[in-house]
Amino acid sequence: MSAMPDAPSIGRSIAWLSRRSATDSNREAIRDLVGKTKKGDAVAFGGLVDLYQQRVFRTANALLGSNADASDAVQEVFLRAYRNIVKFDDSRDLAPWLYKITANVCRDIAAAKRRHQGVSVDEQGLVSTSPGPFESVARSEQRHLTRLALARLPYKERAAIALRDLEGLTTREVARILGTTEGTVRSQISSGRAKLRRIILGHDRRKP
Amino acid sequence: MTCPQETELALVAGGEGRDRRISSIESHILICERCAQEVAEFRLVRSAVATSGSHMLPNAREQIRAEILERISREPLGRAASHPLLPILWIACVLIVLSASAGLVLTLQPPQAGVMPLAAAFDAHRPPAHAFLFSERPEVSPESKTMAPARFDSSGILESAQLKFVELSDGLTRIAQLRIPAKDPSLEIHWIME
Repeated sequence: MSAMPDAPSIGRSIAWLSRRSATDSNREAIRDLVGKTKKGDAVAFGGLVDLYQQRVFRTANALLGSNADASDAVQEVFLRAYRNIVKFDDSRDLAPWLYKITANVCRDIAAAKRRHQGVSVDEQGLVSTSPGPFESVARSEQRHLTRLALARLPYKERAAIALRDLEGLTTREVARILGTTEGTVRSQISSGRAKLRRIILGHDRRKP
Repeated sequence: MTCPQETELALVAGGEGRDRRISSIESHILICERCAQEVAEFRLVRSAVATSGSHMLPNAREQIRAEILERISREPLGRAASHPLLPILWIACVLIVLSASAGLVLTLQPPQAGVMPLAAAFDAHRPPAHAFLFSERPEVSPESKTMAPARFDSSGILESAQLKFVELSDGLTRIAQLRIPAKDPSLEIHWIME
């Protein structure tokens, strides 16, 4: 395992970070980017955007069911993050903080949309719709169906499922992000999964 | 063991149940084909969710990134990096207004002869605010950067203290910091001088 690059330029450290998973050493580099952002360094903040943009988009897309809304959410999440980064405790992991902002932003967008129209799920625009040469159409359809099913869950269940099953966070982390208890998250997850099972697999409540 | 609830099976599929309960359900699954099938379906659902994530195309990422950076370039820097004493300033401003409305506007003898500036004092550590009337100017220079003895009469309550002035980076706001060792060494009072 290589050590931190010596006196890395921000650009180089971003490239270095992008190639690695979250470890203690790159956490140090992320802290460096956060510190520079706190001093008003927009380039350093751009590095944080590069690192977390996909994750924020993926989560927002699962929560909102719309690529266009997810793209708007990404912008809003990073704007709020920039405005509030001075309050962020450097000793903590940045990802849960961003997930929390994402959940809040998406909740606001979803609420605003509910007032105007129903939830829609689109599959166009900014997302790679071609699954790749080796991925079947059936798989692409399955993804679409899953996203439709997610969009039909109540927002809190959708958020718990997205953070747990899509982002792979623990129930404790999900509870912290959503500002609730682990018991509530477990309840939301079990209820959400049961609904998804019925929607995706067409199963009703347990049959004898 | 009777068949577990659907919600429990949903949790077992993701490993979220309580350890002891999981063990008993897993034992049950080994002998109950229906529950095993149900857990398998929940795992399938989890897997479907896990692989349902969308990814932005590189050009879309670049475009959104550029828009974010363009928008933050219009944000005032101070919004991102506020002064650490800003919360104290806000509290002090509110207290000044409250004190004035309650007839507790205080006067502090200025270091130099002239108009007596208004000041509201509050205990920084133990709200609510304490109000003091300084009838004798503190014997300390406004440029003093260290704690210096101050002597004053505040309605007969306080007689001596240590005092220093702190000028904020805006060059306009001065905060007076007061300690009263005889009363309580840990008591520290801040107030904003006009």
